[in-house]
Amino acid sequence: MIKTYPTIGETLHSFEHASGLRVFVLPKPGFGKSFALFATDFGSVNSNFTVDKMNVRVPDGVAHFLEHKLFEEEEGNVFEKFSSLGASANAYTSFDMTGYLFSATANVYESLSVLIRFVQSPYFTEENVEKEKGIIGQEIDMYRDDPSWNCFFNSLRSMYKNHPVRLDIAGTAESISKIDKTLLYQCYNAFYVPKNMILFVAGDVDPEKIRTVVEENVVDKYSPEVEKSLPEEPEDIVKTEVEAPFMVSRPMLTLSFKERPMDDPVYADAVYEVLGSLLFGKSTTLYKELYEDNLISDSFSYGYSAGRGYAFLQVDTESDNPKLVREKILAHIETVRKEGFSVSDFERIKKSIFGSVIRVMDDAEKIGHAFVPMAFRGGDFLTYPDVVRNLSLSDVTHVLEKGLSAQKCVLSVVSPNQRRQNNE
Amino acid sequence: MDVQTKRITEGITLYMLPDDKFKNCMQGVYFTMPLRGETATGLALLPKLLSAGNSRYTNRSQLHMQAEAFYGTLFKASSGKAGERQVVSFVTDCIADRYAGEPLFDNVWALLQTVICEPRGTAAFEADVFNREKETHREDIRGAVNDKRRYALLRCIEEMCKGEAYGIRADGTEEELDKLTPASTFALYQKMLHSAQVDIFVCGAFHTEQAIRCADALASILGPRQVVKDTLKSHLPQNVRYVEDREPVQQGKLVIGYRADVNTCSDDYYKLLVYNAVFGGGTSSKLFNNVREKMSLCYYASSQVDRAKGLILAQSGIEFSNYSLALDAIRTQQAEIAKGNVSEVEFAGAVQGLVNSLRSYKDSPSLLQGYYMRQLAAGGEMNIDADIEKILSVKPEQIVETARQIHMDTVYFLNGTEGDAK
Repeated sequence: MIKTYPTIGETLHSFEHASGLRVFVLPKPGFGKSFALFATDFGSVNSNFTVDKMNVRVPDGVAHFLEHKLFEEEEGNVFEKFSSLGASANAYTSFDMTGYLFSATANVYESLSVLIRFVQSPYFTEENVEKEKGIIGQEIDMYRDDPSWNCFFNSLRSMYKNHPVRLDIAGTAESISKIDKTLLYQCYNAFYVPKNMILFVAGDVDPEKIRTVVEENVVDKYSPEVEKSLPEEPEDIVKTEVEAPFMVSRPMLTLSFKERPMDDPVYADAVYEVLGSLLFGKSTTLYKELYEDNLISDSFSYGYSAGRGYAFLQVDTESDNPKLVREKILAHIETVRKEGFSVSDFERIKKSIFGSVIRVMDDAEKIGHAFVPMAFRGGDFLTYPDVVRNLSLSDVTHVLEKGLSAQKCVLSVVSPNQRRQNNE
Repeated sequence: MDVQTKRITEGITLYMLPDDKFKNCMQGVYFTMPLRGETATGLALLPKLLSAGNSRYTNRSQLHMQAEAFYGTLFKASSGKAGERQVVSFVTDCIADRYAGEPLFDNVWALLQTVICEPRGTAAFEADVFNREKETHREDIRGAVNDKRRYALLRCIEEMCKGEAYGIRADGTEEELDKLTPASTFALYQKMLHSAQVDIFVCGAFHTEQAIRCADALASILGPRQVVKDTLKSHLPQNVRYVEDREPVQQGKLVIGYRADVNTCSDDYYKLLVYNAVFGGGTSSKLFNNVREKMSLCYYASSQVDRAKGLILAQSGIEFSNYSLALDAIRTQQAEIAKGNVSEVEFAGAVQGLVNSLRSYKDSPSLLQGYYMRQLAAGGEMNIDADIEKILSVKPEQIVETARQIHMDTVYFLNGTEGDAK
């Protein structure tokens, strides 16, 4: 299938392989770099599922552990193959998916064969699984030293009572100690089947040649019947405040609003992006006042995240008085709820977001990272600029009426620990 | 891809890379001054002061509002160091005129020029704005500790290059910040405006006549200047220094600073570059494959080159108790290269990796901008393909020779507090 997007000047080729694998190719003529992302609809939140009606509960961090281990092959690690082709390979695990990728300026089709083949060829042994625990253990420790990461996860744990989005993506030292090769194969066989996967390629490539590489390398295999289950999640939050000591110079804060997930992921992203920008952008009176009162630093940002069964809008900043910042933000939301937005602000913000998406279109990797998770949830990222353009002010005010409730708001703070304060 | 260079006036040069395959365009104006302890803090404060208000946009919010109206144009003013020079930069990133349906390029340039040339105040910055931005900058200086990996790197460089200009933090210090006044900082601003080396870089979807017209307009305000290039001095270490900080952290951060006895302004630089790629440049490197993959000591173990200063910095995040083990392991990898133990796969992976990332730059206005500005700072080639050719001409035996010219200078360790001791 070929679909064109006149607004952004792009053309997308797509087809479904006999195995059920969905393939998307975005040609970027004149570009030297190509990018491929081969992903499975399996992420850190999928800790509970049934395989052929049998219930499976896996330790936290399995999806991420599996991502690390897939690079291992009988004859060594697959990085060597990529680097001899001049391609740069990597992978990542998010809440909802695991993606394997490379970027290359030569040997694109050869590199694509390597990508498709290695993701389909697990090689887990007791030794190589044990060995990985040291590496992942240090990855976990690295994040334990990252103040914004901790502020973020503390807020998730305070928002979500049951939903596994509250769990660390890499797990903990304790949870990964329980992972063994049997468990990895069990997850692999359940989720690394073509019908649960997407391949995305962007670059100066020929869609027909990509099809040939796919035909030659994708193996159609038995797909067990897998059902992912998510626990019931109440609409309410767990607690309104959480604070943790850290080696930071000044308190950092994340103010999160637990939102009701929407069905259409593209629309949800668009409407929350516009709403976030209208409420918390740096052109707002809120930012101006907080900044001019010396309440916050110049870093002040917002972001919307959503996946299956979860959605939240967050504001991040630094302040010596996090509670006062929360008070001001909540009051600002109340005022806007009463007074509404101006049409000129609304139109300007839409223009701004439209421009920011055009800017992404020069970057094959960014397009891929936005496109694939959206496609797993049934959305088409390339329609995003049009969806933004077509939003009406009432779309945004409607979300504000029900959303961003002060009752579902969590303040997460990491504040300077004793030692740091004594030093100063 | 050749950059088109045009001397606008003495000391002001325009670099252009027009390409309609892009949907975006980046404009950047860079002021380069010597990095000095007495001016670093003031120069680092200038981008904040200039972003905080000018004749047309009286505060930060108004500037942001204008950027939003310009289709979400990104605007960034910042300060950093390039070798022993300080670079104050003003960069915008906007969509191509053909997507905006309006002369965005010219309008965005006008905004950039206003921010640079028209601050509020004539002989001094406005006191309230000055005081607020000063406090924001103080937080930034203190905030260096927040990112532990960068902090460890910063501390290693600071200790290693004590007494050299390179050891000065680009953000400056609180002591120097306290000395600044609205008038003294304004004088420094005037000095930067009229005596710094100015480089203008435009890349993406635009026409060269547009850029030349804009650069001419800016140059007519700034005027010609004589730029004196100072030469970098480096010395080789007499013996290795060991430095340790203790802080309440979960993971130890090990940074090893090396000095290369190599003329980085000559083609020897390419040998150093390939040497570094074999040593710790990516997933084909010795550090990745041995310290991480074989020994499971860490999640990251990598190294980087600073061309202007001829340094190599290796870093890894480890368990506190593995300090000696990791230090030995990293040392061993360098010794292995010096002994000539470099496999074909390691060598080819290093070369291909460097070539692939250089070629990738051609697809991104912001990477191109970064690349050319780094080349300019180091006096390197202004042509990616020529750079690639030079990398491809490096022979395995040459990097073995280079490995013997690398001298360990400083070992820095960010250790935990009591109870976690190594």
